[in-house]
Amino acid sequence: MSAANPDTHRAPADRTTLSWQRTVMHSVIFTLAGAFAAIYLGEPAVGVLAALLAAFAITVGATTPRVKRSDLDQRDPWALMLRTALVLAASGVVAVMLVVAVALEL
Amino acid sequence: MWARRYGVGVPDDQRRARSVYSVGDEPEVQASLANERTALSWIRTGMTLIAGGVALATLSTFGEVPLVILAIAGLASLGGVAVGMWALISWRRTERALRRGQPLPPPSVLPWLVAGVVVVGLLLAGVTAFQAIELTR
Repeated sequence: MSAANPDTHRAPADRTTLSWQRTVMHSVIFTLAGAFAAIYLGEPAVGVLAALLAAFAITVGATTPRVKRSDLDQRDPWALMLRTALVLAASGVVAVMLVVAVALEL
Repeated sequence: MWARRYGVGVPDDQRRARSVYSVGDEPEVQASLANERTALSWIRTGMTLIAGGVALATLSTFGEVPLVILAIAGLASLGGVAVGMWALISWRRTERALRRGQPLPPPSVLPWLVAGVVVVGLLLAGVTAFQAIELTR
């Protein structure tokens, strides 16, 4: 890569965009899978919670902007990471609720 | 230029987290983006742990599941949440170090994560082998 090349920073920016897309897809797919698993396991309340969480994850994904090369100087990913981590934490809580509900029925 | 300098403790930088952007100089943008991608990788690792927990809980539909499997499922889910929180902490620490030009902090959670995955893997293998032996009797 040459410093004179205007596309020098394109690859890192694109990699970061793809990384965000992967993360968001993970959260959407896993929360949806959790919702289906909960319903399959006969825990509709947990399933509804997981479905609501999946809807929130989809919203987070849809509103996560692409990493733009023009904005790299002022990049501020903290809020985006915080809400993604919030989806993760809520998914963990829902998963624990599912495990406890299953354990209580054994 | 990419490594644009804002100076130390520039008060008009409104970006959050303040504890990160109030110190040091603007780092090389590629290093900052790499730090962001690493944090996202940690978050995905946490999500995978949670998905593993849900998958283990789903095993209960296949018949009698030892309680230890459900205990592992719960611990994996909680571990996933912990890894996600660690991602945020690690991003902040690394970004601050980048801005101050200091050595990057080590990924101190990594050995624990690896040890946990190995222990859970061995435990699951043991339970599976035990149940397979029980079935053949």
